[in-house]
Amino acid sequence: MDYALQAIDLARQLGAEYADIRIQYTKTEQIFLQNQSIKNVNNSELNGYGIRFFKDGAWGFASNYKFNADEVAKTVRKAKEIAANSAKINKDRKLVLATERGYIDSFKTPIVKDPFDIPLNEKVDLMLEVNNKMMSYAPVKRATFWIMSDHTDKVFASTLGSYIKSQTWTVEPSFTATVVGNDDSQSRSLRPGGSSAGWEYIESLNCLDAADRVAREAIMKLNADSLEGEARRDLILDPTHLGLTMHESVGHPTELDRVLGWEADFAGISFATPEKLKNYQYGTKEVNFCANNLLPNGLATAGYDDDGVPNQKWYIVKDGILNEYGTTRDTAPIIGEQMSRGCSRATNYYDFPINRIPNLYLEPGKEKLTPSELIAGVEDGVMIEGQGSFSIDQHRVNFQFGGDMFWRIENGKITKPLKKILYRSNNPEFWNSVDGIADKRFWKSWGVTNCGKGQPMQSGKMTHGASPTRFRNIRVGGSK
Amino acid sequence: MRLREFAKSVDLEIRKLCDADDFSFHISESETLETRFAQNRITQHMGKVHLSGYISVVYDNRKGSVSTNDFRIERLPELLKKAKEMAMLTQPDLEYIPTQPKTELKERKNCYDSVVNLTNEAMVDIVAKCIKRAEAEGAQISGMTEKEIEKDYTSGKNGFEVYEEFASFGHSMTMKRGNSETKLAISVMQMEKFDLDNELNNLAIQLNDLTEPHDMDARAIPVILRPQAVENFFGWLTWMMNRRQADEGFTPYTDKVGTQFFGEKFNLYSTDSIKGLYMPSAVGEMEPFRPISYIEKGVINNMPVSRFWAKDKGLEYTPYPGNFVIAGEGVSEEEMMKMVPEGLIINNFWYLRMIDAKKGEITGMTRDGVLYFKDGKIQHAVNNFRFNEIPHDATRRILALGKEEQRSVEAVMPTMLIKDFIFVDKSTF
Repeated sequence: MDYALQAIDLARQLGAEYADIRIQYTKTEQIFLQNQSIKNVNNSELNGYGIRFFKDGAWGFASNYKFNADEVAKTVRKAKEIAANSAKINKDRKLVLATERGYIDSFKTPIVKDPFDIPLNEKVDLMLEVNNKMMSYAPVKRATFWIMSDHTDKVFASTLGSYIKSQTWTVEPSFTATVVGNDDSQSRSLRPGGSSAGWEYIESLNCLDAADRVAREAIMKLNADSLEGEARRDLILDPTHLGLTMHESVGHPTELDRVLGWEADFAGISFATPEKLKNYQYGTKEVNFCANNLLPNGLATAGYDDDGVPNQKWYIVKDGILNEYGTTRDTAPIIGEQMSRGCSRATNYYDFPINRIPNLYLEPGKEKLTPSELIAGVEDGVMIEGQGSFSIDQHRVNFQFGGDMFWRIENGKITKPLKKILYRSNNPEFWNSVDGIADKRFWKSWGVTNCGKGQPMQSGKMTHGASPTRFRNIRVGGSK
Repeated sequence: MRLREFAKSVDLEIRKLCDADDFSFHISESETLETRFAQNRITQHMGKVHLSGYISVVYDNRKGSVSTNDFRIERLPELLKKAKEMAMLTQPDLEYIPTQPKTELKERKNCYDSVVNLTNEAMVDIVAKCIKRAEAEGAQISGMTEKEIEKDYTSGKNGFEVYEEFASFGHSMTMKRGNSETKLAISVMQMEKFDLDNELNNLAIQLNDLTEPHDMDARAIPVILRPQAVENFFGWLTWMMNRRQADEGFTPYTDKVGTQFFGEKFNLYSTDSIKGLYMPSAVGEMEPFRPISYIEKGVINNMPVSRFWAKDKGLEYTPYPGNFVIAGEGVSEEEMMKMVPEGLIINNFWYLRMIDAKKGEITGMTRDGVLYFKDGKIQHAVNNFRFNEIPHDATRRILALGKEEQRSVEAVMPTMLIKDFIFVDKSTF
């Protein structure tokens, strides 16, 4: 029996102005290894469905994991009842859904090697080899390696006539070497982020060579100096670092639900309010943030969002100016938009879809420019790779970031490694200090698989990207 | 079939079918109602039924586990086969410790009818009252009201078995007027402990205190941390204070057990003697819940120790806190303000992150309102700040503690006066 069609038929009979169902099966494999000991090998599956019922300007949502006609009907009725309760409150403030049509379509992540077809012992052997390589350096006291693979089969159907099947995959590795000295402990990681890809992504990372570098740089960090005090310095931020900075300072503030105050109670609101559209100088004219849910290997690339809106490409920041938001069908009409940009995504079947950051990246510089040329233009600065501590206020204005690896730049050259570096800045200072972005040859993506948002918290996925970028005159210093 | 009986039947079947050296089984069923409201309307409204669980097997110290929300009896052979295949293909866990034997557990009551019977209509009424009050205050209100009923069953091959039921009601709300915004959140296991009118009155008072914040630069200054801020700030200790990590040199607590490492006024413990506080029957690695003193008068009495590390190093297994209490002394906020020439009252912190694991240094920002006081009186609201602080250092600067307050089902916290709290940056708002 097609439960999707059953649910939609019943929702229509019950008077839904709009309704949809997501039937979602997700399987995930996680392997975690620490100091040559396999701590966790887990294969999980999650199967169920969530139904949204929209009537009188209000949503009702119900989810269930029991698959039979009675339970599906019960769940539709429950969603309807909840919507009716919501409508009592919303009678003077009705929600409106952006215009959309139905689609009959399918989507499949183009993968070469299904990670679930790779024998577990092959994965474990690779992880042990990497672990051994890191632990072959005596100061390394702890070496960890985690690999996650997941696959989601989804059927989305709606009262607009949509019937969309999608199959997506995600793979993410992460390994860390931690060294201990007399009065300090430092770590270095390979955290390339997740990718909507198959096992070929892991193979492309050359993990063994990376393990050697990670262990050596962890030791380097332990013996490195920090910076005395905070001063205005230049920064060169590597794509492995910049992904997180743009996620926090551009991605989140341009989610329309935040702008509208829908996340005010927990994740926060946004400084990037609608009167700033088309006139706010978010960054220098070199700064172009492209939202692109069609990006190959992008974690938000899935054909359609969970409103049944097709994936698209648009500019969030164009030539430095705030251009548009990431929107959903229930947020877009509030600022007068007729159509959604397709940013509605739920994590699991039991989650209500929320306004999510799309795949969002900083476009590479248009002129030919190498990272070495960026460095050559810095007299007093720091280059940062990888992610460390990150903290930003609830309006997404003021922030402080650390990193994973730091290099001192003096008189146009990298002179030594550093540790315990922090920089502090805010919007609009930070992105308006950009004066150089390396060209497209140096552009790299970085996928986030654990973006926490919502009440209750959901863990979202999206991909960011950048070329190495130079920021002038930022407050940079060592932690105490 | 009710979850307990269903879980028991699955457990029996696993025992029949599973030839592993050891196994553990866990199943959890939850039923939730969640009403999200924002800008004086309901934006999302959910009713969920969810099942989750796992079977973990061990063959020659090799582990494999499967998690699923489909535990139908006819699926068990397939799930066990998958787990076994995974175990056989992997390498041994060199730190494997067998599951616990049958253990006498004290039954704890964490599930009350007043929450279980709460209807969706009643929850919507709560939201309606919040919106009405916000409108009366010329403000907008956002938040979530939620109810959760959870049932859990855990067992192991060697005889350990526990079944627990838990029900909680949570309500959090942020009121915003102009550029001022503030929040209150509470969770309870009995509706009798939730007083909406009182919460709304306190929220409105808190908001009214925040009008026209003055500009102030960051510096080290005395702070009165209200209970929510104390819980967020010191909640980090429960992550950082791991005995193995300390012994291996990763944290500031290396060789500090039994020493006066925290301030004398600082006491952190878990308890079974506070009514209304969540107390599980079992915690951590299948151990009965017991009250534990982690820090007493600044001396580290205990840090969480895993069963492996306990066995390897001849220590007593010590779980992470099942609930946690920071002891108070009953000093009022008014009295605290008179104990220092000036200072800040902090309602809450936000986005706390580790910046130096070895030193135990964390960063974070103030949120939901900051008040400047001088000469024993609140003067005005000020902008938000960023702190970079070390919790154990901060406890050495505690000047006074307020009365203990319970704002969540798992923690009891006092207000706390700390000297020279280190703010390193001011916010632009």
